[in-house]
Amino acid sequence: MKWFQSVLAGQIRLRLAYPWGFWMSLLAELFIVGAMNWFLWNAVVDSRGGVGFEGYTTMTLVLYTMITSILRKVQVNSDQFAGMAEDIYTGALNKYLVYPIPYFGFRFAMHLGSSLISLCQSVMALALFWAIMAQGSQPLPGIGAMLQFLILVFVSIALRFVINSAIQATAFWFEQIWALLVLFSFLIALLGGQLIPLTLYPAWAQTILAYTPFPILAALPAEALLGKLLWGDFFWGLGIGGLWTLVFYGMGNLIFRMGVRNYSGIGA
Amino acid sequence: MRYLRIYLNFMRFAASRAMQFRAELGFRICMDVVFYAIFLGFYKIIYSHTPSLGGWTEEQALIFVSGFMVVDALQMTFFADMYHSFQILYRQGALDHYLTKPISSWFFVGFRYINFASLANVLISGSILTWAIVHYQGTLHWWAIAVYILLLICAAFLYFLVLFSLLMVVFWWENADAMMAVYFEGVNFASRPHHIFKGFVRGMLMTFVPFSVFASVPAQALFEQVGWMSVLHVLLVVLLFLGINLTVWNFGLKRYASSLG
Repeated sequence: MKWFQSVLAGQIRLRLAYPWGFWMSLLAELFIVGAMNWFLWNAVVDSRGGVGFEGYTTMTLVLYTMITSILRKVQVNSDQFAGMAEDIYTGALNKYLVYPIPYFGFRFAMHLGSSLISLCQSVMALALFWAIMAQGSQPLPGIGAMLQFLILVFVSIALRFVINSAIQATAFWFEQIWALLVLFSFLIALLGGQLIPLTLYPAWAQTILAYTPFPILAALPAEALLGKLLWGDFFWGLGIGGLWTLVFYGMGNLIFRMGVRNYSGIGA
Repeated sequence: MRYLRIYLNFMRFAASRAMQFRAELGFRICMDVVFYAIFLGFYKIIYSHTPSLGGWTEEQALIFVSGFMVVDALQMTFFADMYHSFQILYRQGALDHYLTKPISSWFFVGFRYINFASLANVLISGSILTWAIVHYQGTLHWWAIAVYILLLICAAFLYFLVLFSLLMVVFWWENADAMMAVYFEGVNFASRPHHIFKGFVRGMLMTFVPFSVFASVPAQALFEQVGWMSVLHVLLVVLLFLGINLTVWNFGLKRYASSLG
């Protein structure tokens, strides 16, 4: 596994060499998401005659959406978003096929390297906002909440990687697959509770979604960091997330192997 | 007439390009259908917890958000492909080709890239808007609806003008990716009723960062049975950004040093 460490370290160094683009987009995103949700939830509470949501202050709801926003940035890195598909289209995949290391492993090491740096930068920005602006409404997370959050984030990084890999492996057959990648991002927004906490969804929807891979990609880590995730729900989410990771890993591998059989080596 | 003829030619080429990748056309339609489902689902959940939002009922919010979808579909069809192409043209020095043509280079660059694959989304979002208007319990006169549709077309043009103005930083900074990322995050403001925003933020969203003018102000004009102040507001902001766009374009071209920027 020495190669894994070396690719991971290389990617981390690369990300650290150009940190400003990420900082700029992160801060802009947090400001926009924070401001928009502050006004939205205040308007909702006002129209309810000042009655809030059980367990959620307006600031908690703002924090929730900020956390789900940073998760999106941590799980998907712009420089890795369609990297595998690009390799297939340009023929750059050739060199990886003769490397004595698995292609998915190589790509995952790069993905993880970028995600780790994104996670550190995002958590720093969020912690600063939370400590200065939101501590009065929502106490800072305890050790248990942070532990739950970190474990779920790492599972979500792996899950998102295998899902995106399975989608990108279809690039052997299709000329453009970015629409499929974006489509999946939209599904997370809708079904993963990226915009609204899942607890505000209808009960029947919550029951169904608990079996899908979506909540672990947004709602569960956010609820964990806000200290609202019971240990029972944490282990359930972890199990479901792990299971879906295996399913998509198997699918991705299968599609990739089928694609390589038809791959011409000069681009798909 | 000459510009219209050229534009029809752009459309003809775009249509033949779109038909070459039929599976991708299907993916793109699916992607946008899910995109619309997000907004509809979002407001369905919000309204399951409150009777109104920013003074609008669920029916009004449905018309407003459908209008936003139409604006998005229109700009995706007629302008979105240009957002990426423009930077590439600049960096590769390929803008030279556009500058030598005997028509406005701003028009050529801005209007050439039409994506026919997204035209289906104009039909889908338009159908959702039609459904929302037909099921609206209040009164909406036909002329108010006609003005509203014209305002949505203006709003799609405004969407392009605002983003193109930002993209022109490429003349000075060589790269406008960060600007684009911030814009696409900020455009989410456009999918919320402008009444929920207060103070300075609302003032900015109605003028210099005109996201609320994309769909919320046109919807306001519709619900007021043609609120002429809202109509005037949209038109003035479009003119303001058209002026900014052409001015920055001319300044930018003076800095453009041909090959490789």
